[in-house]
Amino acid sequence: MLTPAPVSALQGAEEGQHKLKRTTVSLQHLTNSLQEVAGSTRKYKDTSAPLFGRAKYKTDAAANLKQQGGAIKAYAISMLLEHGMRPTDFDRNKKAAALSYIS
Amino acid sequence: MADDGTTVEEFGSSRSAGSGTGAGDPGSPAVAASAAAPAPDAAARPSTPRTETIAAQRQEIEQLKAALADRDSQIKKLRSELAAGKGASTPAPSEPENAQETGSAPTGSTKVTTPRAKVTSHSGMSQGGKGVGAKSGQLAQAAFTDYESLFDSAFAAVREITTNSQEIIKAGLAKDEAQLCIEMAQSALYPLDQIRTLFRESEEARACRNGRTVGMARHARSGRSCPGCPRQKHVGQWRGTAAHRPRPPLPLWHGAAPMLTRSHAHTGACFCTPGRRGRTA
Repeated sequence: MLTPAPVSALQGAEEGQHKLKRTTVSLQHLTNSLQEVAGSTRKYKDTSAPLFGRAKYKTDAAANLKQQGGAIKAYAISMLLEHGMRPTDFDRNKKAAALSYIS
Repeated sequence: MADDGTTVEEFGSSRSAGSGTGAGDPGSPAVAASAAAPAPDAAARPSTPRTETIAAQRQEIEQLKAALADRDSQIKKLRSELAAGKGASTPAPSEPENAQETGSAPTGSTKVTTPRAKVTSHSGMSQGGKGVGAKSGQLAQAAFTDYESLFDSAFAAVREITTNSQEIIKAGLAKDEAQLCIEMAQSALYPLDQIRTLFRESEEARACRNGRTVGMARHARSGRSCPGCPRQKHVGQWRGTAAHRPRPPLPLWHGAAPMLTRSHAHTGACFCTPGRRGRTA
């Protein structure tokens, strides 16, 4: 079960004038980034490495996945900052909660 | 185009005039082949390859002339339709605008008010779904109204990343990076869930303030605290206790009612009546 939200994130919810003006641009970016990573992983899952140039293929795949993983983190942190939350909420220690959420 | 036809006519007549030496034989096959050709005496000669070629060329010329005439008629028709379309489409956008804004607006003000009508039609969110068709502000507004689909897409993407990356790890292709993607995607779940909670509570609060009776009934049935009426936290959670004693530390209080850390001006819309304030256990 996920822990409740920090107070700093939820205080803005009480103010009605901010709710209507809140935008979700960072959420859009994060969603797009996640979908892009999903597409890349799908591609790498479906296609096997070629017989020739296998090492280069692996290197490219690794670089691509690493870059996109960093993009996810950057967009998630920007979304947290946009909505007044702490960047440390993006924490790998939340993995257990994430796994429970997925399963 | 008509000039080309004229040239062809002149070419055919000059050929016939130049080669007209005697009476023509209308029953010859060359004449039958070029039925519309104006020079029947051209076939009076014995059919040589040259005359056959000429006859074939004349026939081709006639076909081209017919095709040109057809195209000319089509072009005229399209031009007339285009002119008619321009004439008809100019007042067409003004019709709904006139119906919406100025019911008895004269037709002379059509060009002035058409952009405004477009803006109003785009800024309204009644088009549904992806009908908003303009700038980033409008896109952001559309995303705000449809943020649930964004969250659903994000969570679905995280699930897909997890399964695909596990397959990649099994295949031995970029193990560390696939594991990094899994961790990043799963770490993004917590912020996503928090933001979704934030948005949902904001929507609930707004809905409750817009229609208080419905909101009150719903919250009264569920026993939950109403996000639109913060003092209602006392209804379920702190009933029978001293409401004004010092609040517990934040983590304990936080789990019970996360967003109710501020005092508010009591509006009388919630169940937290002033008589309940001083009630002790």
